[in-house]
Order: sequence, then C-alpha cells, then structure tokens
Amino acid sequence: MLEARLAKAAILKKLLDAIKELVTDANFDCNDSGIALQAMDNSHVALVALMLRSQGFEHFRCDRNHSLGISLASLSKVLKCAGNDDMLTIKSEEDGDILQLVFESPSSDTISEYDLKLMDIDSEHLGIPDTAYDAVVKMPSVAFQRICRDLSNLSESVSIEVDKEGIRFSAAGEMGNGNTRIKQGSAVDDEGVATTIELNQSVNLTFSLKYLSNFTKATPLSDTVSLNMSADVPLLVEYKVSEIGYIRYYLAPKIGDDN
Amino acid sequence: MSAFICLQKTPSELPNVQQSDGKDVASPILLQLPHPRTGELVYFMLRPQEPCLLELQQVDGNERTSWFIDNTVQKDGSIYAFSPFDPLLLVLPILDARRRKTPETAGSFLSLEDLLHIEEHSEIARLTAIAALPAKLDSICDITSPAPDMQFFRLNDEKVVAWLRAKCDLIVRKFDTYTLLQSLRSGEKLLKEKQVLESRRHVAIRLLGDYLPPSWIVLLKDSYGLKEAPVSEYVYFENVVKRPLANSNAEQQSVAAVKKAKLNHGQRALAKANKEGMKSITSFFKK
Repeated sequence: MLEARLAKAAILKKLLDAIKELVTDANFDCNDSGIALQAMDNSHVALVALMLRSQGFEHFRCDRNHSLGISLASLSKVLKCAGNDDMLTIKSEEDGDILQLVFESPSSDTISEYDLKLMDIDSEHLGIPDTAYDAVVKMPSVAFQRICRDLSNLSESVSIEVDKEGIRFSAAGEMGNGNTRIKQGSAVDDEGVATTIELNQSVNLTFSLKYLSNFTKATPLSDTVSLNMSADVPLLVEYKVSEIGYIRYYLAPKIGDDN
Repeated sequence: MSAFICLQKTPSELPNVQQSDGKDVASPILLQLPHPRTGELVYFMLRPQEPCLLELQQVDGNERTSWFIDNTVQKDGSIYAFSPFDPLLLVLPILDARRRKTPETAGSFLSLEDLLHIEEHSEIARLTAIAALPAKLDSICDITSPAPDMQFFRLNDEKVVAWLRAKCDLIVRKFDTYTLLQSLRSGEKLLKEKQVLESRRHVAIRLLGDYLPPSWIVLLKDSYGLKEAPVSEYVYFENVVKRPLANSNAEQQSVAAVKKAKLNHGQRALAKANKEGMKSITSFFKK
C-alpha cells in the first residue's frame, strides 16, 4: 500500500496547477523512493516530469511499486477542498481503484476525507538521458514568467540567445519586435535572486511562447527557474519544489524558424 | 473487419467473402448500403444464388471477445449473423425519393439503372445484379414497357401498402412459431381474439418498422385502422442485435470528441500554438 503525508497541502495544489494545463490524465508512479509522474502534452512536443522524493514527505510508505492513474482535473477539484495549511495524507491500496485523500486542519479539529476514483491510463515512459547542457541559466522565476507574458503579445515564438554576457529573449511579429536582456549576475528585483549562467558554448534557440507561458504556471513553486539549453535538443525548464523534488518541462525547439 | 469465418446452416455452399472490388458478382461481396429507416451505412452481403441479399448483423457487439483459431488470435470476436433481406425494402426509399410525386401527378417513370444510380452511394447500383429484382419490383411499382428489354418503374402507394400488408399478415400468421416473441404470447391469454390479432399486428408493424421510413408505417397502420399502440406492447430488439456501422471507428471518434471537450483553458491555448518546426519529443527521448 501507499501512504504519504505532506505537511502542507499547498505544495500538491501548486503542483497540480502547474501540470493540469498541460496534461489531462496521468499516471503517478509510486515506489519506495517517492512519487514520479511523466507525461506528454496532447501534441507530443512537450513533456513534463515530476519527482517527489520520499524524504520530502513527513511520512512515506510504499510497499510495492504501483502506478495511480489519475484525472488531473478531478484531483485538482478535490485539492481545492483542502486549505493551504492543511496536513495532507494520500493513501491507496495496491489493487484498489481509489485514491484516498485526507485533509487535517492545522488545529487538527477538522478532518476531511475524499475518495478519488482511479483510472487505467495507457502511457509510454520515455527514457530521458542526463544531458550536459551547453548553457544553464538560473534566473528569477517571476522574471521569466513576465518575459514570456510580455513577448507573447508580439509573437508566437521567442528566440533565446545565451552568451557569456547574459541571456536575451527576443520576439518579432507583425506589429513590431521586442527583446529583453538580462545580464549575468544581475538581480532583477530587490529580493536578490541573481541570474547566473554556466556556459560551455553560446546557444541561440527558438521556442513556442504558448508552451513556455504554460510552463510558467509552475512559478509559485519556486523563486528560481533554470533554463537548460543545447543546440537541437529539447529545452529543459526546471523548477525545484522546496526540498521535496522538482518539476521539469521539456520542449522541442523550433527548427528552421528564425522568427 | 479483417477476417470472416462463415458458418452456414446449409454447408453445401461455402461463401467466400471478398471486399467489393470485383465488377461481377461471381462470389459473395460485402456492400455498404444506406439503411432504409435510418439512412446510415450498414453492411449487406450480395451473392449470386438466392437469397441474393443478406443483412449483416453484429450480435452482442458490446462484449469484448476474441477467438483462438489454431495458433492465431482473431482480435474481433464479435459474431455476425447474415439473414436474408428483401431488396425491395432497400429500394423503397430510393423509389419514393426519385419519383418526384406531387399532389397533381403521380411522378415519373425511371429505368432501374437510373433509379439505382446515386452519386453518394455508388454501391447501390450493384443491386442490379439481383436478377429477380425487376420482377420483384412489380409488387410495389407501376411498370411501363415501351419496347421489349426496356422497363420503367414508378412507385405505387397502393401496391406498397398491399405488399407491406402481405408481409405483416405473414408475420401474424407465423406468430406462434417465433421463439423471440414467446414472452408476448404469454400475455395474450386474457385478451379476446380480436384484441390478440390487433396486438400481434402492432408487433408485426413494429418489426417491419425497423426497416421502413416512418411515413410508410403510418400508411400501413391506417390501412388496418390501427391507432397508436401503447408503448408497452412493443418489442425492442435493439438491445440484442446491433447493426455494424460502416464507420467502424465511430465509437473511437465519439470518445475522442468527449476527450476534446475536456480540454481546459491552458490546453486549448496549446492546441492553437504554432508547432511549425517542432519535432515530437519522442524523437529526442527513446522509450
């Protein structure tokens, strides 16, 4: 059986918000090291991978590997019933067809239980190799979200250029063009999350802004986002989820499109 | 529909089913023809020997079954039943539509070739292969023959009703022999003879009505002076027998439609995204 307890339901709420706009149904694969999810969007050009390590839970027990097929829309609805500070416990029997969620208010005087029906989902698991990316940019997640939103007004796609000076996002559309440049080491806001760049080689890649904007739904999970790029391989956008794990988005680059 | 295994009541002649690509009907072929009541394409089998036209029905199609045959697995284990089918039922709606009847005139005569030439359903023309068809048409049509070898047909309402009444009467006469109708007969004990006849006629019309455009059912009922029967007397066979639709992935399509409807705001935005030049993520990451 699976039994896992999170100190705050807010983390799972935010995680759901970060993937449900990309994927409809997904399998949560549980084993003794934690809970993982991997799913592609409908068009199969993007992939989201989620990892919640067992150490990050207050309590975690999973006797045997099993996978929970879940409608993300349904899970999201159930999680709306939980307060942000509620303690969240999820339980599932190995051969059961439900996921039980228990929400306990911080003062422990209110306990809500929800049973969510599980579903059979066919999914193919892709092996993602560890890649040494040519450029790894860590930047404030809010700044990345803002840039994606701003440039979406101009164009469908953005070209991201990284050199040793900094990172430049530029978009060109019918009404005009625009770009934002962030210098290495600079803090965009006073909070002091600096932009850092690890560079082996300059890169210049083009991506769909609609997809990048979709990924920024994960912004509330982390102050920092890391953009990992190499020529002709998918962009990796990673948000660390406090101590417990990460959410990673992969997006195929646009090839032969200079706009 | 990859393979058919045909079991016949009379095993002397083995049907050898082919897809309908040959011109002549030397061997049985499968056709997709519009169902006379619903107009949806359903499968029929046309073969040289009488009865020439057979209707194909899928029995208990909701069960997911497969067959082991020797060392192979036949994925689709549905059972299909072929039963003789009166070709007149198929051509009735066509004749009705093509005669262009108006209140002033009874409509126009047309040759069989013209009648059965329909752009959207070219396979209907294959029914001309039924040698007895012109003779059969005599029971529902006026026929003029300006020259030998030339025959022109026009639907005659009175003849159609008489023909339908004959079918109906036949069902009523043989009512006691149908095992499927057993449950209905048991309820007849308390009825008077006249009521029994009326109730059986309703059932017979209901059976025929499965294959008739609704306007004819009204005419047929009027001819018997029957009023609308209470619904409880009807027998519904739809839950036992399902017509295989020509469009076999209709079910998958409806599933897809349901899925599409579930897309949320973000997914809709992504569906509209310009994915030009983007390769599938599976081309980067191997399974």
